[in-house]
Amino acid sequence: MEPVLSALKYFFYRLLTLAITLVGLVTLIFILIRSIPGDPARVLAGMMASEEDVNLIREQLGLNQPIYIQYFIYLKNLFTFNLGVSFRTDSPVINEIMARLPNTLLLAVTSTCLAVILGVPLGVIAASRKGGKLDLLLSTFSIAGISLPIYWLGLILILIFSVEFRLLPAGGSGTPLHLILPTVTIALYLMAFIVKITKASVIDSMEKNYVITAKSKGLSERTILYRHVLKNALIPVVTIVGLQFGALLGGAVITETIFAWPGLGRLIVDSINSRDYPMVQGSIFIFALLYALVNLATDILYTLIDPRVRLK
Amino acid sequence: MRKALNKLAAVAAVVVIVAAALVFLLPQLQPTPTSSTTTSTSTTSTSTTSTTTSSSPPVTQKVLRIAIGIDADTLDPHAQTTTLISNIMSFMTEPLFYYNEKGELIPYLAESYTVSSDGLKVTVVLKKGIKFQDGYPLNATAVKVTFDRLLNPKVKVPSRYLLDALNSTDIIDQYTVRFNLKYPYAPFVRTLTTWYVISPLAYQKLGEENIGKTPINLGTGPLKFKEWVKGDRIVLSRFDGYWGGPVKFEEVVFKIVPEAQTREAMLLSGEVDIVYQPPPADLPKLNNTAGVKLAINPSTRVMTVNINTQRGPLKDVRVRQALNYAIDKNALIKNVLFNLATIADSPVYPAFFGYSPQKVYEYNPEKAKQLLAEAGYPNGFKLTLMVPTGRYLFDRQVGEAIQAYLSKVGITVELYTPDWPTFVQNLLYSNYTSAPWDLCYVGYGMTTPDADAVLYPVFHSSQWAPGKFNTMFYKNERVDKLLDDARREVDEKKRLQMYAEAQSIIWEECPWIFLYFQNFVLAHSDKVHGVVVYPYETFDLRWVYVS
Repeated sequence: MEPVLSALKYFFYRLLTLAITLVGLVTLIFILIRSIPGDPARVLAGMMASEEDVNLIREQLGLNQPIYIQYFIYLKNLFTFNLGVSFRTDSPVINEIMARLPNTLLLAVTSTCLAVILGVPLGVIAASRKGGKLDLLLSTFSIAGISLPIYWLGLILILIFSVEFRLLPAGGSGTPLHLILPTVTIALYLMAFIVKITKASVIDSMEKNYVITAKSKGLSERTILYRHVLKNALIPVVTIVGLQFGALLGGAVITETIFAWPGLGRLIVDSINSRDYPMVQGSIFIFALLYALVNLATDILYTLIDPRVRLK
Repeated sequence: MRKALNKLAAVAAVVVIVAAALVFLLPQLQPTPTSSTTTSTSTTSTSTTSTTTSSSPPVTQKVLRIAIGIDADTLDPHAQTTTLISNIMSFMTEPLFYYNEKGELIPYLAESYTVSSDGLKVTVVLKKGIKFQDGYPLNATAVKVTFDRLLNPKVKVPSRYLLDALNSTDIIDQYTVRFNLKYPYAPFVRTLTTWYVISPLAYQKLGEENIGKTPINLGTGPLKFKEWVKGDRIVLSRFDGYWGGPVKFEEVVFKIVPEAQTREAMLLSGEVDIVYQPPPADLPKLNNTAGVKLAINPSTRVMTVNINTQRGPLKDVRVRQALNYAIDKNALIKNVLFNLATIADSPVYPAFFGYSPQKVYEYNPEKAKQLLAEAGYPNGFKLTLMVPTGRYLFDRQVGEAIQAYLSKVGITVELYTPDWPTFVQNLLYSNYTSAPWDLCYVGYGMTTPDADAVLYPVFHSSQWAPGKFNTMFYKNERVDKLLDDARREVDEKKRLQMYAEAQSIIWEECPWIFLYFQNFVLAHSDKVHGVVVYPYETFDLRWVYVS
C-alpha cells in the first residue's frame, strides 16, 4: 500500500510543478514571439496587399485587441485545452499538430531504438576492448558522427541509396521504405553520443570497489559486466537517451527538411517564419508537455534500474 | 515483495501518464472535414460538353508527379499570395482572361469584351457550353457570385487592391456580365487574369468554412481537387468533362519537398517527373545529364535596389546615377546568377503593355567616381543595404556583390539581412527618416501585364510608404501627372506615349539601381512532353503527357 501511495504522491507533485512550468513557458513564448519585429497580418496578406486589407485581416486575427486581453483569452482557452486557430491555415492548431505528431513520434522512436540497440552494445564492446583496434575504430566513428553535419550526411545517403542505386526513396512519407533513410541519418548521429557515453560509463563502473570485490571472489569478467556493472553504467546512458528522445519530439528540422518528412519540426520553424502566433505557442506548448512527460518517465525508469533511487 | 510493488507502481505511473495525455488531447481534435474525395462525385460531369475523346495517345504514365518546395496555406482560389499555389489553383479554377506563352492577354472563359466610351463600364461576353466540375453551367451568375465574394470585406482576399476600381457587377443576360467601375481604369481587363471563377453551387455547399481546405468541384479547370495531406502532398484528378478536352494523365501529385537538393535527387532517381526550381548551382550539370531537360524561361519579376531618395547624399540624382554606373550587371548575371537573368532596360517587363526600352547604364566605375566627386562626395560615404535571405535567387550573394562593386568607387556598404517578416516590416512600415536602410534589394513580380501595374504603385508620389509601395520616397510631379492620366485614358496610343515619357524620366532620375529580370526554371525528365511555361513563373499542365 505504502509504496503505491508514495508513488502517487510523487506523481501528482510532478504534475503540479509541470503545470506551473508550462504556464510560465507559454507566457514567455507569448511575449517573445510578439517582441520580434514582423506583423502576422502583413505576412498573411503578402507584400503587395493594401493597408485596408491588412487591417481587415488583423481584425479577423484578433490582433487589434490590447495585448493583455489577447493573453487572458489565450490562457483561458489553454485551460480547456483549446490551442486556438492557426493564422495561416484557419485550422485548429491541435489538428495541425496532430496531423504531424505521429510522423515525428515514429521517427523519434525508430531512430532512438536503432541508436540504442546498436550503440549500447558497441559502447560496451569498446569499453571491454579498451585500447584495441576496435576501440580506436569506434572512437573515430564517434567523433565523426558528432562532427559531421546532418545536412551533409542526409544528402550523401540520398545520393548513394536513391540516385545511384535506386534502392530507397529520397523523400516523402507513406511506406516503411520512406522511413529508412531519415531514421538512419538521425540514428547515426545519436549513436555517436551513445557509444561514447556507454563506453566511458562502463569503464568508470569497472573501476569501482564492488567490481574489485567481485573479481576477488573469482567471478568471470563476463558475469561481472553483465550482471553487476551494466545496470549502474546504464544510468548516464538513460539520461542521455532520455534527453535525445525528448529533443526529437520537437521534431528534427534538418532531417525533416532534407527528406521532406512531414513532422513537427518543420511546422514549428515555418510558423515562426510566418509569425503564426497561435501555431508557435501551441506547438511549443505540446512539445514542452511531451518533453516533460518523457522526463518523468525517465525518472521513473531510474527506479527500475537503480534500487538506490527513490521517488520523493 | 516490496521491490515488486515498487516496480508495479512505477509501470502503472507511466501507463497513467500516457493515458492521461491521450485523454486530454484526443477530445480536442475537432472533426476535420474529410480532406479527400472519391472520384465518384463526377456523376454530373459526364455531360456532352466536350466531345473530344482524344485519340489514344502513346502509352502514357497515369500519374504525373511534381516536386514543389512549399505547402499551401489555403486552397481558396481567392486567397492566394504565392505564385506557385496560385498556379496549382489555376488547374482547378480558371479566370475570364489568361495569357499566352509570350505573356500577352488572351480570352479564356470569356469570349470577348467591350469598354464603354467613358471607360466606366466593361462588358464581358462568356463562352457558351462550359460546365463547372459539379455540373453547374458557366454563366453570368457564376461570375457575379465570384466578384461579389471578392469584394466582400468579410472574406480574406489579400490581392483585393487589384480590384480597387470595381464598384459592382451586373448580370446583363445569361452569358453577358458588366463590370461597373468607380473611375475609368484602363488596366482593368488585364487584372482579370488574377481572378478565378467559382461555381455558385459548390461555393454554397462548401461554405467559407471549407472552401480553403477542400475545394471540391469548385471550378471549370481540367483537374479536380482530390486530396490534401498537409506538409506532404496535394493530389488532383482528371476532370473528364473539361471544355478544353481532358488531359492525358489521370492524376497529378504535387509532392512537398522543401529542400532543393532533395527535389533534384528525386528527379534523378525517377521518383518525380517534374521539379520546381532545382538548385541553380546544379543547372549546368543537369543540362548535361541524360534523361533530364531544363525549361528556363524569363519571368516578369524585376529585381532592383530601391534607393531612399530623401536621404543624405542619395538626394542628389548624380549620386544615384553613379550607383548605376558602379555595378557591372552583366558580370553579376553571369557569375553570381549562373545566367539565370536578363538585364533590365526598364522597370516594365518587355511583354507588358506600355513597355518602353531605355539605355542601360553601362559598367563605368570611372564615370561613377566622377559623378560622385561632382556631387561633392569625392571620398564616398557609408550606406546600409538591406537584403533578404533565401527569398530571391541568390539574394544574399547579389547583396555581397553589390557591396563589393560600390566599395570600388569609395562607398562603404553595410549589409543588413533580417528574416522575411522583419524585412517586409522594415520595407513597408518605415518613413524616409526612420527606415533602417538606405538601399534595399527587392523584387516585384507583377501579374497584370500592364505598365501601370509596376509604375503607379511604385513610383507615384501618392504611394509613399509607410503602408504603400513607393519605398524610395520618390517624387516627380510630371511623372505623377503622366501616370494619373494614363490610367484613365481609353485611347491606347495616347497611353503608350504617356508611359514612354514616364519611363524615360524615371530612368534618368534613378530612384532604383536598375538590375535584371529573373529567370524561372523547371527541370523534368525527358519522358515528359508538352510542358508550357509562362513568363509569370507559372507553368501549364494541360498538354502534358509522359511517354
